[in-house]
Amino acid sequence: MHQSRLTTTPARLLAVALLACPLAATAAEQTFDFKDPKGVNNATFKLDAPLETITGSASGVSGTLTIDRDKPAATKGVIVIAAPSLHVENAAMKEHLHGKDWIDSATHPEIKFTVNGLSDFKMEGDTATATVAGKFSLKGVEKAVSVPAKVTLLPGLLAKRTNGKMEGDLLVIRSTFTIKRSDYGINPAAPTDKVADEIEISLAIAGASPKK
Amino acid sequence: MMRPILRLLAVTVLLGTGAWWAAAGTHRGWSKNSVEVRTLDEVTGIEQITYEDRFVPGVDTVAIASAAAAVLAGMSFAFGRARKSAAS
Repeated sequence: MHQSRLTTTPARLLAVALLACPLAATAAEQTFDFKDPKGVNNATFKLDAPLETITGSASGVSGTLTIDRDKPAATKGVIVIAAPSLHVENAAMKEHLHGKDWIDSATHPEIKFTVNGLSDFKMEGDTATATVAGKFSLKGVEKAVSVPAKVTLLPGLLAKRTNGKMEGDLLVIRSTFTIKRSDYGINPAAPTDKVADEIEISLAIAGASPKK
Repeated sequence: MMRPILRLLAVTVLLGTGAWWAAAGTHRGWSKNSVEVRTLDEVTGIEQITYEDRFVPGVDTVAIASAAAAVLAGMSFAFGRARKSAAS
């Protein structure tokens, strides 16, 4: 700011306020909470091996994302999936899945995607596509990842989702990406003709930003 | 008497399980203890995934039934031999 502008009282007050609150959200920033008591938010996974295809899902989604509509590249937050919520349709397979050799959900109860920023941001109406840079954490191993995502803002629809109890916006995020189970120590000895090394993960989640 | 009964039982187990597996959709993976149910959330367009407790036979069920039928059929031959030995 030019020195002369700081001499006026309102500008000085604003400058003091901004300096005193470095973490205060700007007007364009909005935080979305992805905790979903209705259990609609989900992640699905698929391992497609030559001898067997394994599919399942997880519904224990939570986390927050703070988005700056003026600076979408600065989007930050974390999406958490409760590892115990992973489910496959065969009970014995599910027991193995949660065991120590596989995802060891008792020792590592959270699967996290930490968002550090967006790039290749393109808007198409209310939907944006972007590449999300961040870190994926599974079974105690964290790796840098860069995944595509489709983000749709649904302004004012939080009331419809909560039967009128809350006003605000919804943000829907869809993303499909692939990781290798061997990168995260998930039973690397398992034969890949029966349990594929590549795991395709699809996220379909909606976050809520209530009006204050 | 036991011989034909055991063989009939073997055929019943094999064909019955085969028919059950076919009626349930000839699921070629492992048997399922729960089945996925998808419901569209109209507000967000996301398909909610829940599970219904229901058993769906898979190839492992067919394999177990085939093994059981083979055991029953095998036992039928043992009964036949024992009766011939008793008669002589």
